[in-house]
Amino acid sequence: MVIGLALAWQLKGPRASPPVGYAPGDPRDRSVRTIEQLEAEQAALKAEIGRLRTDLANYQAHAAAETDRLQRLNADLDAQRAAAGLTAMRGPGIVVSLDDSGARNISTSPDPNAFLVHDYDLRDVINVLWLAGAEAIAVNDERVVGNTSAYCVGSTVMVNTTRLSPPYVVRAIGEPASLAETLRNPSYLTALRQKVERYGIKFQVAPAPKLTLPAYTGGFSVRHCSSQ
Amino acid sequence: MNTRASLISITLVAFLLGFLVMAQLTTQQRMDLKRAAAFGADGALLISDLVEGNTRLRQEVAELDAQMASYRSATNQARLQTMLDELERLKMLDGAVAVVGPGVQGTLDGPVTVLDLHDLINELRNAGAEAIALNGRRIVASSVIAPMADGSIAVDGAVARPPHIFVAIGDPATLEAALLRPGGLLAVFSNSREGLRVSVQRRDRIVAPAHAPVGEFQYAVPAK
Repeated sequence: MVIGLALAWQLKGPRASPPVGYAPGDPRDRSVRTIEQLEAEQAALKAEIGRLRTDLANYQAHAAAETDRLQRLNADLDAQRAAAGLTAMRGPGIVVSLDDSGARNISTSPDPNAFLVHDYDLRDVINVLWLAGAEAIAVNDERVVGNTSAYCVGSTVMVNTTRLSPPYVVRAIGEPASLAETLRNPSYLTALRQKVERYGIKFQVAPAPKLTLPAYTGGFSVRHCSSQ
Repeated sequence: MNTRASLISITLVAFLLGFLVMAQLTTQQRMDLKRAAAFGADGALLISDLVEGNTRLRQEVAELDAQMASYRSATNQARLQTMLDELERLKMLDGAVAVVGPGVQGTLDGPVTVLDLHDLINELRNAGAEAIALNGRRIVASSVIAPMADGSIAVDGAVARPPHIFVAIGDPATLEAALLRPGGLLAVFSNSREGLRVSVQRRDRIVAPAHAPVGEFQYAVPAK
């Protein structure tokens, strides 16, 4: 055992020499302080890394949730855009054609206006089409949306502030048979029906298996509105 | 038992024991010494290790900071906000949410026709109304004003009886001027409809309620 002790003592080499007392101010004292500073710095850095990793993990979880939210939001936006008329739509439906009367005695008629298709005729047709369950409507190439107005300027009708000329072609997507049936209902379009019978205004309805309606391309203003 | 053999065994065990005890002592001592940095060589080594280690830690902090910054400025956040704003705008436009703002409020007290009410809504839309309500019901793109079998008028299926009260959000002066202009809608109404009293006033605050959700599309699909 003694031999073993002696051998191990020899093997441990000079590094194991005991710290024989040194005076304060010794260079070794400075290195102790340096080490203490470095160790304190190390502890602070490790704490910061720990904090950052926690923050990042939280952030990533949050971002993942946001990605889910983005996808749902995108779907909501698509639905709202389609509902607002900002998406071109296709489907089966009906085509309603309206044209001024071809009668030759317009100038001698007591009311020349009776021979023309008017803004209110178009509005009445649009209203009845919505009533019949239309899902999307366009007049010529103007999509009918929430702020669409139709008004006469001279002998033409402005729709979405775009000047349209007769014939006015109103296309509606929906169930073709029920759209046609509602248009035939004598309770509706009474004024238009009278003009068709008396003055020869042209009013034709045809089912269409495949319609494509353009998206609304005009502006929307929400300058005065705010949600509650 | 062979006495010589057992003596050799004991000697070996003792030798090993001694070696291990000393090795342990040495290690313990070295660690204490390292902590105290009593020796130049050890101290220098320790300092250089710490400096090197701390540099790596700082690089890691910088890396994590950069990741954090990229997450913070991530387009997700900006896109999300833009999309939320757009969704809100669309919902205000198509009547999915109640809206408030300046505008006009008016009354048609007396008998009116379906076409009169169509004219009124059309006039308000044309004058830039951003939201319209008639008799407390929000008017949207697909709103229907239609005659009922008994001759009364229905707005989106609900009976609308006079006085018909309409509100519109938008620029109050523009909306009022459009309705009151000479030869305009209200002038026509008050001159040509027997017993119909019309009025319109500007308002600082008009509330237009939300429209009931419009059903899903059954026949129309996006044409993309």
